[in-house]
Amino acid sequence: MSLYGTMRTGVSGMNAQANRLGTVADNIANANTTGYKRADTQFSSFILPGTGGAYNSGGVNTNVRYSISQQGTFTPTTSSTDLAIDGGGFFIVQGSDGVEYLTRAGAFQKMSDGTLRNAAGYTLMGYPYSSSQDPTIVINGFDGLSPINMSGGGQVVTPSSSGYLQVDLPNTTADGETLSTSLVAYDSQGASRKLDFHYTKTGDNLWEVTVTYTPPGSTTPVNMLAAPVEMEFNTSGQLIAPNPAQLVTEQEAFGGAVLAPLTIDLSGSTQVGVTALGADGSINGSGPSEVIDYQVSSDGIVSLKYANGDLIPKFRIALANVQSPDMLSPLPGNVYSQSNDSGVIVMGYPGNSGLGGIVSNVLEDSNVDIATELTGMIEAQRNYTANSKVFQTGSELMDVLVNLKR
Amino acid sequence: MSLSDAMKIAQANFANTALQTAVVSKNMTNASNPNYSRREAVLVSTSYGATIATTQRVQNDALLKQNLVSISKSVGQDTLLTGLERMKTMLGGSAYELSPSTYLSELWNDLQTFADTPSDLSLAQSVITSATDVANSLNTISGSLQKLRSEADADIAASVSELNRLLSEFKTYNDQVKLATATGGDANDALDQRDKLLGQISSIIGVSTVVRANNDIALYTTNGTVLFETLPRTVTFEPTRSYTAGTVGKAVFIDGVEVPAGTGGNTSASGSLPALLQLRDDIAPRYQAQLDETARGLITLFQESGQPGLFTWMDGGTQATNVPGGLTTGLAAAIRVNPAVLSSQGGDPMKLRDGINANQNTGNEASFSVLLDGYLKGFDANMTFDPAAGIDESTTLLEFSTASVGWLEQQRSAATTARDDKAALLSRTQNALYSASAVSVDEELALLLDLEQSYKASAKLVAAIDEMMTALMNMTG
Repeated sequence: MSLYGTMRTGVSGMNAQANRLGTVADNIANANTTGYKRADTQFSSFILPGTGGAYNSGGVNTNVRYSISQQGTFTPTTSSTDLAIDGGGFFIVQGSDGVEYLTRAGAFQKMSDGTLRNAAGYTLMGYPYSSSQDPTIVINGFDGLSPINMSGGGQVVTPSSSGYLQVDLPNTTADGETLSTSLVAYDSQGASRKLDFHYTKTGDNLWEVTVTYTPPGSTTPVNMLAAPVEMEFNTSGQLIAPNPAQLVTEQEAFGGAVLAPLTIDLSGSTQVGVTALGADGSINGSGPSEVIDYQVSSDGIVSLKYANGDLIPKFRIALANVQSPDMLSPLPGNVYSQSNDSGVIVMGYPGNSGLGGIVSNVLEDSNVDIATELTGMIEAQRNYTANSKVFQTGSELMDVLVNLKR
Repeated sequence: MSLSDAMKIAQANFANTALQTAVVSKNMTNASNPNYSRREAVLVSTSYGATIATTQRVQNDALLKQNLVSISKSVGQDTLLTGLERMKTMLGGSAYELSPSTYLSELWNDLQTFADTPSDLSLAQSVITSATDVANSLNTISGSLQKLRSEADADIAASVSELNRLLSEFKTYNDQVKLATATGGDANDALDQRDKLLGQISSIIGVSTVVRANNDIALYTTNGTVLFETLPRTVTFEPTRSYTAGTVGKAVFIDGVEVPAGTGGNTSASGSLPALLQLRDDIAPRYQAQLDETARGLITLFQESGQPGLFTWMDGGTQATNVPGGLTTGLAAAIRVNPAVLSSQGGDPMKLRDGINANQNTGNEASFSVLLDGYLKGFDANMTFDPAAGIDESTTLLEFSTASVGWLEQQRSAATTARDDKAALLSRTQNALYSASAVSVDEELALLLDLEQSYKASAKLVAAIDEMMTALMNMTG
């Protein structure tokens, strides 16, 4: 029995080393695969119970492990859709089969339909923004996720809604004199509307503000305020009225477009001993502009970059993690799926604890170290040879045994 | 850490050194470009352990603002001084030998000589010649002055269209800066261009800048008028082609607000536009008023029984028959010597002695000098001048015309002193700005040596790692 046992043990050892060589081969082959996590083999002894003086040789069990939780080094790239996760989370991607997987491979490219697909053909998923508020997240499932779509949808207009205007009014102005300044606002169709602000001094520390708009080609200004706003300053020149320090313009229609009521914050305005009107102001909103690029921030917000400099959030990339990432079951294409041992998937946004942040223009390298693999390979080679010697010896002894009978 | 990691890090250093070298080379190329701010490639450690180089632009906002103020003040003063120098040239240069006051004192001398010998026809002739010189001088200077105004007007028109062009160009670069800042791109080149445009704009009109979100700049003139805010405001001006003394030039409007002209010899004008307005609407008309008052003084002084005498004036194509009672705009251009005493026009110079409108030398005496003595007395008597002329209101005609020259000289010398001060301030702020933001070739070269060493060290590292790998490979043999 024991000779056969020895031979089987030798075979088991050879199989184990072949497994190990297999992982080494995979690791070396994928040394430059983005987001690849190295496979490793651990062995456990398989010893048969001995009876008295007889020793039954057993064998060795191979246990393949993946260093999924070990982060690789980062390589900077020039594409803003190349993403890497600095931390423990995973991207959620969808395969062509419609099933969600986890991955660390962030070499995404924008496809013709606007979706982001990585080298293995998986589509990046995230939560769409419906307003400027963060989308709500489903903690323990993939519900609510949709493929991130970068297609801009043409020109985008942000109509103005509010602004601020701080003025320093010269206290030497004579009663009845008017000083003017102006700000640009955008109507609902993105046309710029220049609003003129006129400050007329009506008495000591008293000014009256009117806001007008002069349509192009016309010389008759349209009044934008229901009634002039009285501004009053105290003896030290600070604004005390109106309270709150703001004015709200009337809604104004221009053909089919509408300039929404604008709340202009007047706080910070002063009446001081300057010789000329000083002004600092701005109204939000922007005219029609097209998408020129996109940006992924470290907290995973995918924004479209518009030509006027505005960034409009469209999606937020969600990250997922499990309790035991190393126990995830690896599938082709650098993706992982939940396994019995990994624990349940927990969703979150980049920056949430444990998930890490997203880095744009960077790719995560594989965590394979060639030197380790090569030395492992030598070791496996030698071990394999040694195991084959065991088998050979067993075989030779069997030969001797068989030759006992002529 | 592993050998592969070590290799990656060394490789990253190649990329960083290459970027830093590119920045150094860009700096050196632009060493003599005054609108270029030095760039610095800075290495930063990121949260994920890598080192990347980002390009930063050296800038000093306080100095930049000061520089803009200095530019506009200096250009404003220069523009005014150029105008005043031109006015001085009209008067003949350093000795003011072509000024009305020079000719006026000659006339006075000749008149005295003639009054001593009233029978001498040749002396009468020379008085008439001097009188013609005075009238011509007033006519010529008045004409040149209006030409100066029309040229200033043309310059204003040119400045306004240039300003509109600069503002629309400013929008282009401001939008680029906004975009690059908002999206984390490289705004440096656009910032250079924007700063350059700011300099050009402030040479036309003084600006103050307000920085808003995303490095968006709003421009206001020194008077608080909006020049640029998201969009350029229109600057409008209706040019007037030809000027006479009575022509009032049109104002320049920025965003519907009139641009005020500068005041004073040490002008308050910021930029060429207010200075040109000051020249056109203040200095030149003021001097014209002085010329007009000199002309009125002459006509009044030589009047005979309420009618113009030796000096008369053209009132709309015909010779006037009345003596103007007060400041008459354009009189200096209209003043003439009465044709009745011009022998070239069939007149008789001796009428100056006897009376032009009516013969007062009824006895036909050769030594009749009542009128001539009266004129001489008139030269000594104080006259009343209009306050619009801006000099002595009650003085003799000769003193008035001398004071007029003095007024111009005073403006000019004040402008010259102020020009020197403002030019010195400009060169000082520019020096300070350049030393803060311009490229120093020495520094760049030193940096280049450092970079070379760093690059070589990385190359050594890569070679060493390569050798280690080779050793490993040989082992697997």
